Amino acid sequence: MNAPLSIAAAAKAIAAKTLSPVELTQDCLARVRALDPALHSFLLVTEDRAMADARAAEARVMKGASLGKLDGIPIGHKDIYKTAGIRTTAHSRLLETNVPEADATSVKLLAEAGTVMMGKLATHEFAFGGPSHDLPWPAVRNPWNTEHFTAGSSSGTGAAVAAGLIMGGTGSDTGGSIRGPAALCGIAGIKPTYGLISRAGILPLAYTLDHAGPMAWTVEDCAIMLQAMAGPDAADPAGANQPIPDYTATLNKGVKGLRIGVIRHFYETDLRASPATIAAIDDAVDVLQGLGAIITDVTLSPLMEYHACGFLIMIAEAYTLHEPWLTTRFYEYGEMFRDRVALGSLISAQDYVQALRRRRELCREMAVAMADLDVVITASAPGEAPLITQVPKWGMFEMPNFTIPFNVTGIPAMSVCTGYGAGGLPLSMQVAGKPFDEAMVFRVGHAYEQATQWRDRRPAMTLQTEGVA
Amino acid sequence: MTRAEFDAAIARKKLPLTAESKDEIFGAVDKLEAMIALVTKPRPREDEPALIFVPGSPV
Repeated sequence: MNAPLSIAAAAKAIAAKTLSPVELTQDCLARVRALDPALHSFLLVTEDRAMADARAAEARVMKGASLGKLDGIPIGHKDIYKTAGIRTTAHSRLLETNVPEADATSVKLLAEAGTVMMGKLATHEFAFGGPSHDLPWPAVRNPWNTEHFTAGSSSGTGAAVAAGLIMGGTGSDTGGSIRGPAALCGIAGIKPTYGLISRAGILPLAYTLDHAGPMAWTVEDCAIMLQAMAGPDAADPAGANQPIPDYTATLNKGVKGLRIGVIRHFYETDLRASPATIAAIDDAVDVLQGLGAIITDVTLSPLMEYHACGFLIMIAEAYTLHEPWLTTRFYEYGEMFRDRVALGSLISAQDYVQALRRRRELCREMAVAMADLDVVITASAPGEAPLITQVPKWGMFEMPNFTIPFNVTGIPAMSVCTGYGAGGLPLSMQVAGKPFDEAMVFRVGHAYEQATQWRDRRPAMTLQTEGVA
Repeated sequence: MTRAEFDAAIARKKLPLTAESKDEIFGAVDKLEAMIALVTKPRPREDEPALIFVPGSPV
């Protein structure tokens, strides 16, 4: 097996005909066979489909009819994205034999861009209940240390991208489910503006908070994937009718003169992150300042107020969605999902409306704070990934998370790796932008990645597969 | 919320919980109530959760 590449690097090599999509896919499949028994990132490997996709891509490239940068690139889909004729389970016993008739819009768009579909990726049950150990498939393990958690719920995508089993993948993010696994697995993952990517064909968790998005090794790779996934879709009632810019066109414009706000109180006082996380964000801010960015501090409402608002809306909507099965098939769900979502039954109409009113205030607050800024930066996670055995069922009810403010406000936010802690696991930060200004988020994240060395390191288990036939 | 109020709410929702599940979930009710308290504060009557209609959107 060759060392894993970024999508951008592979695309260049494929275009130059120095890399074969078929051999690239065979390498990824070999890595799945070697590493996934320890990671559990795949629920289903679609090897025949992958090889057929790869051969078709190779034929297009050889006759000069490439579909673009994603043609021949192996990817996977979180198993809440419906795939025509291919089992889609939401990692749940309730959908163990579910085979959709049609692809989700994003699945269709990525296939039309020439991607190679490697299979379906593990998730927390229905994108919420995890890590669970009482489901038909095991919980995903972190490739940097398999005793540790990946975060969720796009846990399979996070682990598979980090370990090089796929080059990119789809995730969904209702309170941080793209950015959490991106953070703990040391990759890049963006939750775009609400409505930018169609949610049609993706099993919902909470209507007003659900976002779809790409996860990949680098910021540039996320930009390439978002280009294929974004766009209006009448099948999504929340779909935004916005023009889609060229997300890679401004990647290399640098950050000189950009105004960057740092929401320090989120991770220094509201929920104190580890010293290594704080130091890594300080270093990242220094790097961006050194590149010419203008840095200011930003003060918002306490993190817990964003968290409470988003979390109440989330579990009220999730309970509404799942009530028919919760009242008839309660114990077919895993314990994590059913117990957490059952609490949603206790949220009254008044409580829900008060949360919506608070949400409106918080959206206004964020818009005012960002009026004179290009992006804001804050933490993605409190520290390195914890042991998978030390993730409490009720933790998300007690401690706020750093990601949900951007679900509440709907603005684009991305997690970027900022180095590695004493335990050898990744550290991270978030970069968030104004509505529909994903290009600016990518620009800042890419400038930071280009100025640092963190993308040169892969998990030890991945390095051990290099050179192995 | 008292335990009796909790049991009544669960019964009204027809959730088929065992006694063990009820104990477990009731143990988290105080955390839920703390969150509700954070979003429930006096606001002007006009402070509404606006629903915005965007020209050109499909709905």
